[in-house]
Amino acid sequence: MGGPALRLQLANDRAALEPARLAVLAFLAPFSPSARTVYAIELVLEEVLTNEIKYAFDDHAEHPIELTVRLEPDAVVLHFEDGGVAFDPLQASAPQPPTSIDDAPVGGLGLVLVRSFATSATYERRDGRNCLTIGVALG
Amino acid sequence: MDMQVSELGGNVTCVRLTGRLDAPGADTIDTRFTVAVVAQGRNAVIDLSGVTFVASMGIRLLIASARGLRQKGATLVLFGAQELVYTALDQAALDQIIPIVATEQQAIERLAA
Repeated sequence: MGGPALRLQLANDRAALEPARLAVLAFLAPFSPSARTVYAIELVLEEVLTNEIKYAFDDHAEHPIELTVRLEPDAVVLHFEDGGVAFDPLQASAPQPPTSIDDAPVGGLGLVLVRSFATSATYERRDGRNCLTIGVALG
Repeated sequence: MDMQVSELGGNVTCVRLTGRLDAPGADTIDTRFTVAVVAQGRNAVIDLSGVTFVASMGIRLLIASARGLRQKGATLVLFGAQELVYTALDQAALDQIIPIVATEQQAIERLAA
């Protein structure tokens, strides 16, 4: 609590991904995060934002996605909020590991990667908004 | 995201990828990669040594291409992944369905096996 924080308001558009990634990296640069920490953060940003952009809104209008990145003593905590349809990605069942190229599922991989690289994840539906908080170990 | 296509001996397509295989990167090469790899219908090796990041969209592109090649009776092999890229591929259990080896030589040997 109370550590340095970066707040960004992003559009629900894939074009918002790269500027968001660069802004988060610039915010974290003074703290010299390890390559693994940076990779994990980039992965969480990409997978969560891509998911929100694709699925959170059922019209084609522009909607804001709020991203807060907070530095804690041993973690970087990413908090995503949107006013889209209720969806708890943490309740979605992970796909079974594929056994052959023919039956390999192509969906659900993003969540598998987020679960694997993150150290904590919580979801809450609050005041009609999706609130997803994901922690990444600071190394 | 950049890609270079060449032909190795033994009728093998080689694609060397450079950059970030994230959603924008996968979008950038999607059609060119599919044409270079799947449309040829030949065994292919993909050099990942210049890839600094991979996320699910990039992994999907690799799976779709490997599946397309398999339907033509050919095989796709990945090699040279950097440590964190390899970790992501491993966590996605990609090595269960696409051979992932360390070097180009091993990739070629894998095709010959």
